[in-house]
Amino acid sequence: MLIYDGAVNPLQPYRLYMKKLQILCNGQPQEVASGTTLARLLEDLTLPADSVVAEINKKIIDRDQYATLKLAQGDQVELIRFVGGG
Amino acid sequence: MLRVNERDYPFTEGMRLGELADRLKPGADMLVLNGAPASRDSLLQDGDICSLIKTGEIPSALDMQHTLTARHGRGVQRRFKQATVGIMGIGGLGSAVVLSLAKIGIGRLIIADHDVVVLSNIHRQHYFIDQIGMKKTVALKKTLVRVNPFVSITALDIKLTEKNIPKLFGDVDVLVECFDDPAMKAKALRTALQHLPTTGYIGASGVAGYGDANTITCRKIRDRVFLVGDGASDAQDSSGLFAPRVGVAAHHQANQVVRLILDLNEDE
Repeated sequence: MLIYDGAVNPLQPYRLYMKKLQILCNGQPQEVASGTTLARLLEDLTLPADSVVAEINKKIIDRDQYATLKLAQGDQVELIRFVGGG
Repeated sequence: MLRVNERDYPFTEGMRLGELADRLKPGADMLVLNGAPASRDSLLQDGDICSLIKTGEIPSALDMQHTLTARHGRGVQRRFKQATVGIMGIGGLGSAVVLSLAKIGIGRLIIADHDVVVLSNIHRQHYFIDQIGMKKTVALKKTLVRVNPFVSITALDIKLTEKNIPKLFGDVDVLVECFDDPAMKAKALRTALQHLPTTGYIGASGVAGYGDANTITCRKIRDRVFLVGDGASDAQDSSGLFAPRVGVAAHHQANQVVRLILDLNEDE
């Protein structure tokens, strides 16, 4: 979500700022831009989406939801990443 | 009362193991007393458990179970015999896991893979040169029959998917993920967590190379769900896969199968 916050930078009063969200990712506090999808989070973490099992607030997320599921304030994200070999 | 090859036999004061063998199994050359090998002149005591074995003889199912019981203990072996374990993928990890579980007498094993044995498998997977070109399910089943003919083997020559995993492995006590492909590893765990919530699960990630074997651990990630490996060593990297380190991981997995069957649901 884009919000106008003229107070943040008086030199650029019309600049639109991305609202930030605080999430917990594998127990670590992390800040992401509002509207960040699960797929985008994985990209930022350089994790290949196909090799990751994701759980948000104790619910396992289907692979086909990664691209559309937007993170919300306070989400508890658990990521399990697999590497190849067997 | 004595227990001899799983049958009760009256105890007499002063009786020795060799006399018992001569009476009940002439030609027996391996005598086991309360779980340990013993000599012919071992003096028997009331309540002793004896196994009398003739080496080279193909044992009956009952003899096999008697022997395993003498080695593992009665309570443990009963639970092994009643257990069903599913193994997804029978390559480097899976073939070693399955062999280990057949050896200890797990009652039923469901193995699934759709690959064929090729020369490049032999360096780390439990197949033989004369099995190159055979379906892995067929080849491994032939080996398992030689290891323990009394384990029920269901061999599925099938490509596993998120859809068919819950159906094929719906009634197993423990499911072991032994895939090579990281996307399949993720799919399998996802579907197990969603659709098989009470099934024990042991996955693997990070088994490549020849780094310190002590960095391979078995980590509990959920109730009855474990991950084996160092979490990082990728087979795509130049180091590749090596029989010793893959074997360490496989036997971590097999050991955790045992622990889940025995309701030891902790990683300590």
